[in-house]
Amino acid sequence: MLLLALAAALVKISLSGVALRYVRPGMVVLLLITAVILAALAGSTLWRSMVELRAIRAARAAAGPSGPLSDPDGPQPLPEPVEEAPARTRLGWLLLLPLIAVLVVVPPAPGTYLGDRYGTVLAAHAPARFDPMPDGNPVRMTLIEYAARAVVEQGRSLSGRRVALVGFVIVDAEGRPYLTRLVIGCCAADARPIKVGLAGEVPTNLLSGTWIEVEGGYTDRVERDPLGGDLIPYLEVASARLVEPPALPYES
Amino acid sequence: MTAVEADVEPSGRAARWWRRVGSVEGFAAVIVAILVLRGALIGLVDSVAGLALVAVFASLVLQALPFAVLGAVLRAVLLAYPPAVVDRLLRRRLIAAALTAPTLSPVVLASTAVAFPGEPMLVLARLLAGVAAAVLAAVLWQRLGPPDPTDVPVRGQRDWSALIDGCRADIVRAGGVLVLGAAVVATLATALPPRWLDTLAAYPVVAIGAAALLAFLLCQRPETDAVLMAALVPFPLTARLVFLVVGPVVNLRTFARHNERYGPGLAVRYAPAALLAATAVAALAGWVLL
Repeated sequence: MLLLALAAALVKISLSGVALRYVRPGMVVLLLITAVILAALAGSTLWRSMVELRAIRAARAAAGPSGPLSDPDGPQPLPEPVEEAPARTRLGWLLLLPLIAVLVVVPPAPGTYLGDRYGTVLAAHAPARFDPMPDGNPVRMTLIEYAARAVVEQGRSLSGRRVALVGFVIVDAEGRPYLTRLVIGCCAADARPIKVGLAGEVPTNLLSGTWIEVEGGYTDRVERDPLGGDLIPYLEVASARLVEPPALPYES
Repeated sequence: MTAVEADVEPSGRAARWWRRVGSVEGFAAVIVAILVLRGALIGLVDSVAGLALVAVFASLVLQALPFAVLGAVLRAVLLAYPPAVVDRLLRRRLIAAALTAPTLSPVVLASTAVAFPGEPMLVLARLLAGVAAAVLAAVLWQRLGPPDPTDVPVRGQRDWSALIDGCRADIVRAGGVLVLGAAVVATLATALPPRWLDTLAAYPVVAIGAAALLAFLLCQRPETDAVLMAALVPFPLTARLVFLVVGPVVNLRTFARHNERYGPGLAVRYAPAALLAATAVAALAGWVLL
């Protein structure tokens, strides 16, 4: 029963896209395979018990209406290690916790919490070499790519180009807004922020956690993140608009 | 999963009513309670920090559960179809220890590789150090412990219903252990001030000791431990390797089992020795390979 519920929950969050808040897209296939295995295991046991039940009913019918409640010649209960069963059951109930987490609580990607808590992790994620800038005006790129081109290449490939970035806003203690995106290696559990400072035509009263798309150009303004000490490049914003949170909240 | 277990034994004996309550009805009651208390449950974690903790917890479980399930299935399949070549070699104790080292399992290696993308050397180091630590532990056991005939695996078991039941129980147990570990790690990763873990991780010896201790306490299956370690971002790679090598060799569960089977004298001597040996091997491998 528990495994069936688990399988159903895995299918639900995989198909609805909720799983993408917690794991990388490649894991979704594996979650579905897991659901199939769990359902098959639970189903085979259910089917077997139904067969046994039918056998018992048949035996009972043969014994007549006044027969004993359980046929003494019928299938005997499997010998069960008495001391182990309850322990296993108690542990198994813990599997309800993740079910509650992903079906009832359904937390969003922990964007602002991690953005406020940790410094930008550009140094650990900047690529060693850069491809030529793609075509397009504006050029859509990830925050990692913009930050890396701005800091590592000192904006050489960015100059004269207009870029578009999507991320959520975090606001620091002095009220300055940063465009932020989480990068993940394994899953949401090791997510850390990449931050880009916003200069120029920045909308006022931006709330922390708001998803926006900004268009603008490179500026050589850079500052050090007080958390961790990595460099945060800036973007000279020309325009900004509110957007829906993307289905895929992370960069990797 | 006692639900189905109760159904498997439709003996209808009155003495078993509580077992039935503990299953289908219990499950239904819990589901109803969850639905009724939905608002309260959400309210319990309705803060930025609480939601982040739940998100990290959910991500750890979702990331690790498929590997726990695949690992259980692989174990059941190996029980039914043991590789024939291994058969003769298994009689030599140390070779057996090397060949049955959990870090040789493709599921374990895959989960490690997925948990640490971009760190292929960590996977290789885990494989090598894992085998070395398993052999060392076997050597230690030869010195300290009695001959252990129960370690010879059951071969070629083809009773499918027993295999399926075993596999299911294995998954439920592995899942429960995973949930516990994920809850602890999610709390460490999101609720502690970041400075604490950073400070701990800044001193390699302290980080290695903490990783070994955590591996001993969390008792994770080798299929799921890499995911939990991935969440402890500040830990240096060598400390992570120590966590991944120590856990499968010696942990609170093996300690309790030895204590129960052979008494505290042996358990108290073996566990620290094995813990130290595995930590040393992993630290050495980390120093050389990472």
